[in-house]
Amino acid sequence: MPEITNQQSLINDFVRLMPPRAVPVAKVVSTEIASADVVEKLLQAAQEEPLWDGVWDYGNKILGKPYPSQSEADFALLGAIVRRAHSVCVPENMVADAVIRVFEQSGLYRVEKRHRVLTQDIPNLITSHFISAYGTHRGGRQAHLRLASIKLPPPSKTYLHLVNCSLLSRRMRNVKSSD
Amino acid sequence: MSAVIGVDIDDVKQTIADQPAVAKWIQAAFEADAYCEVSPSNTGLRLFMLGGPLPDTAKRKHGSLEIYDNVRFLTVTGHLVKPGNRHA
Repeated sequence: MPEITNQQSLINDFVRLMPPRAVPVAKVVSTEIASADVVEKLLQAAQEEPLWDGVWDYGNKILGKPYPSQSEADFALLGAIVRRAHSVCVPENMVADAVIRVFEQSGLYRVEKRHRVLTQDIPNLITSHFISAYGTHRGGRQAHLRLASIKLPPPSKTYLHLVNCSLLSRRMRNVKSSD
Repeated sequence: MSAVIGVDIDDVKQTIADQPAVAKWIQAAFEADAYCEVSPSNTGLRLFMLGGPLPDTAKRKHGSLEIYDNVRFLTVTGHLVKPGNRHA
């Protein structure tokens, strides 16, 4: 009668045939409430961001839209605020609280998205940012990709100007040709 | 602590064609006299063995290869792959 026997080396070999599981990105969660002066300092810095006023749906068919959806714009602004939090030396354990309190005051903030922002966007951005700052992370490639995505600067206000110039020059060409 | 580990290899011929390393592993399993039987579809293999818990970093399913130490149930056909009839 055949028996089920210990075959640890076979099991190890079989596991090696399978690719490793993607290691989930560690989430950084704020454990402390940010102080008022920290929030104020971050708020002043964040107000310089182009998306601060909530204008995200611009662009045209020629140049394309920089943000396909408001959620993408949210993520870009949150990324900028996280970077600013690092640059104005907000303590790491206060970053999440400070970022959400600042983001609440921006033109992009939507109450119905608050939960997603708090549980997904901010932790992911903080994790990615602090990996770049301190160079340690278990997530490897995944983290690197996230990092690459937040390194892209948000479109500047000059983008809108360029769009307008482009439209104006097209109109002028059309007027000339019709003449 | 040892646990029962179930290994499922679907469509053995195709799997070996896609991943030749699997053939070597099956051969090693035969040589180690691991408990091996034909799956209900008659095209796959089920192996049961004892071993330590699977590492968290190991995938449980990849294409036609599966390995479990918990959560899933595997059917047992009793159709053993006998030493003289190992054509897989």
